[in-house]
Amino acid sequence: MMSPKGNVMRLKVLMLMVAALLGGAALAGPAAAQIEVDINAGAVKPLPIAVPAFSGSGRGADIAQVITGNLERSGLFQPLNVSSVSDKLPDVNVQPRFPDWQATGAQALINGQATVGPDGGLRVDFRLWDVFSQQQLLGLQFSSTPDNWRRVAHKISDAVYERLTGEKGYFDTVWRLSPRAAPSWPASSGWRSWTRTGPIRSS
Amino acid sequence: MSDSRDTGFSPALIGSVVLHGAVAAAILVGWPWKTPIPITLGESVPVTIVTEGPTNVRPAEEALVEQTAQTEDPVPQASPQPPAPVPAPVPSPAQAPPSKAAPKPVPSPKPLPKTPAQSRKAENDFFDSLEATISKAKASTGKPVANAPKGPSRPETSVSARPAAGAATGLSAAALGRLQGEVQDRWNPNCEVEGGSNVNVRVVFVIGPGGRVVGQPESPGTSSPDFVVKAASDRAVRALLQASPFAYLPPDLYGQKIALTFNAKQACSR
Repeated sequence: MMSPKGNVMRLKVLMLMVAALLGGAALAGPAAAQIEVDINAGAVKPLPIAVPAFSGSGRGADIAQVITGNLERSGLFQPLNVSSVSDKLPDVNVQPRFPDWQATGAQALINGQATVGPDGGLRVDFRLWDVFSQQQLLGLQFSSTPDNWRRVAHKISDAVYERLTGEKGYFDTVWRLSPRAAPSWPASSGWRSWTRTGPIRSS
Repeated sequence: MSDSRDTGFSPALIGSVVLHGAVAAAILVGWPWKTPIPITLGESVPVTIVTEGPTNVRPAEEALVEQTAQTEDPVPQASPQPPAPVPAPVPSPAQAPPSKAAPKPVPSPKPLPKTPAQSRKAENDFFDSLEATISKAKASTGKPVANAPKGPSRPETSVSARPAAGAATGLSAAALGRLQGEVQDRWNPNCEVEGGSNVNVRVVFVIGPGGRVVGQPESPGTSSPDFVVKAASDRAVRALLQASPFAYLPPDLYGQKIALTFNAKQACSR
């Protein structure tokens, strides 16, 4: 059994500990504080993007044009005319000079290269860059036959669309409509249900 | 029964082996009286295989950039000249006399009646001292100060040694309001995409000298497996970097963490 004096001592020690804890919290508070700013409004508009012609020997300009058209038609992107700076675009494996691209107003840049190898195959590399954070957002490589360049362009459009919007792209898909008898509807009514049998392709 | 037990082979086993052998022989030999049917290949369907994968594994090389030796813009850590009390200007003959074109002084309550000449002189002194104070203050810190002359400012040590200000001062609040407006002008929320308007993104960054963003802003969403959140975070960081540098932020905010909360729901509902 503890004496009353011992109880008082225990109480004092406890109070000191509580005071120390509170003091520590008070001291730590300002150091951890940070300024909070709420951003509650924005400028909703199509994302400005630069799609200069891909370098190389394998229909690079055509591929860039298809990508430009796809992104523009989606309504979520605003491809920019970047002919003035596209000459300065280096090899696909070299980082672009971002200040040049920032000056165009572009927020994203697609730098690509399309080459036809000795075996006759088409190889397309591209990198998607964030012009302001100067980070690579995406880098992919496609191999195909040269006459399949359009499909490659659609696939690149899909990848870019998904990375910048978060939503799956729909350019490399095709609606193939095949009639299927609808059991619940009489054939004479003219109704038919359609089944999606293949990927959707926009062009 | 005794025979089969002696030899170890039951009639059933022998029969099974014989039958299996017969079937195997029939398969191998075939029916001699049947003419073989030629195998025809179906209509070929051209299939184009497109392979895809990450491009060149190594990261892109840094572009060669011609650079000139440069240092960061010097930012006064402490006032080069403490704003000393402005001495009362002594009117000199070289100083322009109070012009007649000057705006008519507004009569103010005066404790003692003064002559018009004295009144003009006193007013001129006041404006001169005010102008001198403002010009000194601008030259020393670059930020507006109260027009009342102050004593020497407290000597500053280092930016990081300052305690973080939880509540911004009036000056900081105005600057932060401007920062908010500039980021809002550049933020392009992902409203058109499903789920994009429900994403709230938080971006934390540190302000450095000259109002520059130090390092890469932190946003937990940039590493999110959800592509919509990832894209929203990228857009928020992009808006911040596009609006920087925030040269108008007062130096007492340098080294502090600023957290921006991008509320897409509100932005998209406007």
